[in-house]
Amino acid sequence: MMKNNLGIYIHIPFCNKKCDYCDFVSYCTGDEVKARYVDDLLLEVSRYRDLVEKANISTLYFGGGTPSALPPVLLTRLLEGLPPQFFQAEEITFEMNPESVTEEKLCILHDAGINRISLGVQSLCDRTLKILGRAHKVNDVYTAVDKIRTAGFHNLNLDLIYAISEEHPVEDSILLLAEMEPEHVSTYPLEIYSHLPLSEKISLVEDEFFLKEFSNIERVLGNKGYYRYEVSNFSKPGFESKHNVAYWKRVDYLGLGVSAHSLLGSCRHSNVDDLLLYHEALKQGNCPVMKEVMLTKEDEAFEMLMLGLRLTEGVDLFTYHAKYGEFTDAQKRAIERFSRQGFFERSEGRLALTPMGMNMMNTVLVELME
Amino acid sequence: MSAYSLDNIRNFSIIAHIDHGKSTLADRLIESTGGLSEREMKDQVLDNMDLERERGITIKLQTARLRYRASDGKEYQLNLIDTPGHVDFTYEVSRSLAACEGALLVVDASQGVEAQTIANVYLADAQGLEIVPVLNKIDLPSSRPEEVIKEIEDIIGVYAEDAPQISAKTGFNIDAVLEEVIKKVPTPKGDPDAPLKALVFDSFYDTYRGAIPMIRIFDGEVKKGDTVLMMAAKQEFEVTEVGVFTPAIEPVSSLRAGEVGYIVASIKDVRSVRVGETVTKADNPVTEPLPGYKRAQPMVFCGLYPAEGEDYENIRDALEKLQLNDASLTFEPETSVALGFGYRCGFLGLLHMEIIQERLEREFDLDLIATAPSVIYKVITTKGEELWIQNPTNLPPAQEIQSIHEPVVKSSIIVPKEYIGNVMELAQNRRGVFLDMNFLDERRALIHYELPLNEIIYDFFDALKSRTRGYGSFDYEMDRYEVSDLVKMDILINYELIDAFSIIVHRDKAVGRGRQIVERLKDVIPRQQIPIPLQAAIGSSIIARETIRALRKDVLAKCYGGDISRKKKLLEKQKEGKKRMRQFGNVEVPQQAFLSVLKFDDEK
Repeated sequence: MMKNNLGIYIHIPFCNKKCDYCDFVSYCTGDEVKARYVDDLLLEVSRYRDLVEKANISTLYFGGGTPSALPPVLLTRLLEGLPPQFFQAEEITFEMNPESVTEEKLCILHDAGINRISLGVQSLCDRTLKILGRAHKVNDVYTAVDKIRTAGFHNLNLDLIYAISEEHPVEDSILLLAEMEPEHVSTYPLEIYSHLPLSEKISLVEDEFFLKEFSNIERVLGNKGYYRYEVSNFSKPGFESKHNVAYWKRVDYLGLGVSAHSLLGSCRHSNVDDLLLYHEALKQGNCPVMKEVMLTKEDEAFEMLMLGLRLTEGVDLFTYHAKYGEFTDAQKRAIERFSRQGFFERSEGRLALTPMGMNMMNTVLVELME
Repeated sequence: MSAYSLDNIRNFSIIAHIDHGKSTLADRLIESTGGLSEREMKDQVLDNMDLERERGITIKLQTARLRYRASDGKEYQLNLIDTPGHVDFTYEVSRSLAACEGALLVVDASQGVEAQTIANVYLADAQGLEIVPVLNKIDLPSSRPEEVIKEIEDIIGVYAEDAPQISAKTGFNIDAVLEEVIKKVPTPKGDPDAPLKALVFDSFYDTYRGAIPMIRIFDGEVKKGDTVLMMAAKQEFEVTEVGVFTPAIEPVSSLRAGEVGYIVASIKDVRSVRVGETVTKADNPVTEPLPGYKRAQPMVFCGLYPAEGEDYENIRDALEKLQLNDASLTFEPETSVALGFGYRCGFLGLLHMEIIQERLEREFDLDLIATAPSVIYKVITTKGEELWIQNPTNLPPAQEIQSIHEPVVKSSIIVPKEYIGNVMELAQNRRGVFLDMNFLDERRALIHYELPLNEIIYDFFDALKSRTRGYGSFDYEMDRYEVSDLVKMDILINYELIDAFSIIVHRDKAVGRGRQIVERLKDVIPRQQIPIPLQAAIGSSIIARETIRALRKDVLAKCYGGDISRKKKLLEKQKEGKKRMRQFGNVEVPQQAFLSVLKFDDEK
């Protein structure tokens, strides 16, 4: 029997220091809490034994927070406690921050079968790192990348933040970053939430500056042989993030841990976003799920567009029409209009956004929404 | 019930400032005379609409016949006639008062006399009513009865030394009020055998029985089977029932001179029984109607448009229903290039306008866009024609206008002395002309200003409250039309004139107002794919300009860890916002934009 593909996401909600721009669920805490969490995670995993056995685990991803904030002993406990099927996945990614990369941890990861490291570089300018409230300096990045390569990892992603402020342009960072020759680059524009500390220091940049920043990134990476395969991701051909691409293609995935999200068939669910509630739920033998949404056909159709259009290859229209039927008249009109404006590129059986269309993705999606 | 005798009847109303306890006192009076059983007794029975209760004011009148056995052993028929408590309803108040011989003046023993109290006393005085002062809220620690008695005597000129000191809230000393009514309020005069002469002081609409007028009989008698004549409307109706309010409806065999009650006569339209109408008998009419009838004239106008086009019919249905109970509400269809089909509605004043808008939205679940309120301007054209303009869009071109005249009101403002400067500054900014100022006591001053009505219809009251920390009180009455240097200011969005934003404004204030409006619009209109110029113009000259920069990127890149819910929510919100936008050419304008130009505070 053919097994369905399933991605696994494991959330490690710990950081050595919370960054000033971060709006994710993460805690700065001692090893005792971390240890308890690892045990809880393994407990949660065991609840899904049937599901895991019936599926073909295609990708595994450890994200955070900062997964590398786990001390070696807990890393080992976690990795050894997970079902062996998890490690048969083709792509296994582990997120690390430069300051917590050590040879010991890299060795544990490598031995466990992890084959992709994602490093939170964010900037290669000390002044900018400081403004962002990052815990590391530029030198830590070089040291970390050296160690990662030496440990035998041949698939490396570096994260970079842009559109921070006119005083902190991305230009120098992206050049230096490309020189390190990672296989994959994720670029994120800085988002500023009014409730976070960073909002007191800087405000949102003008559109023009934002676009200039992105075009610098695109130019530098293009010259170095990277291509943009998704709104904010670049890679050398063949090194696209399989795990993330699966999100955009709506392949099933199971999220484990605090605040983790899952898509299983027509159901999206998410876990409680509080460490204590998560622990209590599992201790009492309950499922830590906080929210569960059954998707209608219409929801699924819109998701296919909303997520699929993030990829430069766009949406496969044969699949779309086969599953969800024709576009509505309003959708057809919108597609027509945006095509004339140069936002859509239409080829046989595919609907894809142009780079210009990608910049206006929300405007486009709102019009496609029923 | 004792036999009919004019000597046993007292007709009175209660006048008071908002919040001084009028409704609570009315409750207590009804309760203590057994008008309603406790089960029926709702809090503040006289204010029967939710909105009224929320705002603490009475809009529609209700009246109650109280049976009271006084300390002299006799049973009296005390007719309490409720009055609306706001300046917008001055005419209605005056008609209610005309149905009485006396008025209880309720004054909050800690707040003292307020602008509105004085205005109402003047009205009562003009009707020749006996003023019976009552000090309420005597239970409050902050009450200062001695000072307030002195205020009443000094400012109003009514002897108040032996005024009942009561607490309507706790029911303390309520009987003293009833005794005072019997002692002080004159007995009604009238001849039950003369031809019928009755005053309509209010009416309400019953789905099954039509418009039901509330009347005070001055002479004669009315009973079931009579054919009555409405003298101003020149319409005849056959009476099918007469009755009184307890305040519940209670049919009686007849109403006679001096009494108060209602008649049912299959009257289809509330406009046939306007407040102030004289009712007489068709076969034996009086020759002269009662004095003082006039049709209440709307003073403030605004366009009401459906946010969703398909609601157009529903708005008309709702306005018609409201009109059944409210003869002073006017409306007629109008079209706006910007907003489509809607209605131009006329109101007695700002409060009346707000109440109607709120009722349409709440009771009829309508989503409305209201244009900036306007007053009626008198325009004399170069050809010598006289035009009355209630919609700025209809103002003729400048070269065809010889003069524009605007309504001017006389206003009274009472304010603690530390805020006098603030109030004067405000009034000055609103083109006010100072008349005089008197100190009511050591703490408060009464200031009279003449103000153009169009300067107070937006947010004058709010501005006054914020400049006096809520202590300022304000009242006005229409005075006259006066020639003024007024211009029509238009707003252009992306070079397109949006008629719904046009306003008539004094030339000296046009630039400031124009700048303010385009700044507001810049904040509320979301950026779009093209740059959007916003302009304020008088004729062809641009007096203010702003530009909304083009939206060059609209993308939320982060979609992390498989959490797509944030992104979806954001898009849904954007979609929802889009639904509530109006498309003008290439530009989408949110409904909020129409509201944002209404509220301004020139001192900011």
